[in-house]
Amino acid sequence: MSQYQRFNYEVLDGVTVIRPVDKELSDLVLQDELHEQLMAFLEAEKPDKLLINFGAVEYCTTGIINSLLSVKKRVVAKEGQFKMCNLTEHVHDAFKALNLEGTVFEVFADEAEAIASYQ
Amino acid sequence: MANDPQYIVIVEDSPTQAVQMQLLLEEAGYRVSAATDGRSGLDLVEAESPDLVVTDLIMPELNGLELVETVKSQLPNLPVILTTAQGSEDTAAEALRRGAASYVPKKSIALDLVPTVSRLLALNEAQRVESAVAEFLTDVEKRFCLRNDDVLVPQLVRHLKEQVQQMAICGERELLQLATALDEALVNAMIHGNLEVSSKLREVDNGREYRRLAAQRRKQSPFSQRSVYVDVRVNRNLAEFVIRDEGPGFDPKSIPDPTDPANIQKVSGRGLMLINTFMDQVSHNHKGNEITMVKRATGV
Repeated sequence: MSQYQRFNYEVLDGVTVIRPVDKELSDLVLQDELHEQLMAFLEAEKPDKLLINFGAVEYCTTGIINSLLSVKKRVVAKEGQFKMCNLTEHVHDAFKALNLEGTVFEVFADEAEAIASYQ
Repeated sequence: MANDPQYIVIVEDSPTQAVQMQLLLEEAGYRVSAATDGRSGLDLVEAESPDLVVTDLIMPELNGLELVETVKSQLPNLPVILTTAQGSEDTAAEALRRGAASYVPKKSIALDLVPTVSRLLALNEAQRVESAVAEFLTDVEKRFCLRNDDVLVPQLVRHLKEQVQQMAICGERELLQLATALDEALVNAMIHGNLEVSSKLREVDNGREYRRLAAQRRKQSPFSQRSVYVDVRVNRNLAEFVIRDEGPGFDPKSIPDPTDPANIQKVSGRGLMLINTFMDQVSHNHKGNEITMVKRATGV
């Protein structure tokens, strides 16, 4: 089994696309696993263009949001770019409430639009 | 018909193991059909509406994990039991997360299969009966007393969300918002309230220091003796939750506004912001160790 059980990934047009697989990230064990695996991935792959497609995630809490902020910080520290796409309605609601969309996170409707924005 | 035997579908590519399971279940009084791969197993489930499915993990066409996911998406109330070979415990745990009701190691099929099937069918029947009378329910009041284990949080949130869903006071979007608010409030009460672990520690060593201190304090006096009390009142007009911890409390006004650009990279304050946004009414007691959250029926 892959060492990254909490997400799939592929490289499209030079952009590393990560797709978390869990619908509900309220389980703290899952949150910790996702965080650890994302950090391990960043350490191993060092993507300079990273996109997280959050389309499978229907529900998340501030634990996951804090993890996304850590990911962004790590990518940007290495002069990379980090974007997100495909947020579900509930995750949009949370990002909007916290003033994260368009300020901290660049968010796109879908992968194609997000990948095009890196060019 | 009242006394028809319950019907179980077995999905197993090993003929020997399939026969063993079929005999065990038929001796226990169940009616059984078998499929030899995941794809034909799914076809059989869709065609014949069994009461329960027993499936192997590793199979051709569609493996057990994929079968569980597909069945749960189409028939969420149908229990699925996985049979697992030695060494596949991680995959079994993953299957449980994806919706399998239970798993039985193959080495203990003879001992455990029938009791597991029996228990899950009884549980399913109890849930079906509860659903049938739910429309006549008008009020629910409950109190929970929790230890400081944040693994309990998603389970309690799921339970409370179902209570609110039964009262049909709001739609799916509001239910998710309510669940988020409850999750944040419970974690705040346990970790920041009772265990007095600061959210600032999330910024240290990728959050490991935060988790380490929480784990340490769960076993350490006086933190370990503190509980979180959750009082729930739900009726057809509103859902009210009062969550109290036994820590020193805090001043909600002292939490910086996380939406302020100056604070946007900080880790604290987001939970409370989500609670205030997603609930219709939020208040704190004077000491700051009790929060009352209200969600009103949509349209009220």
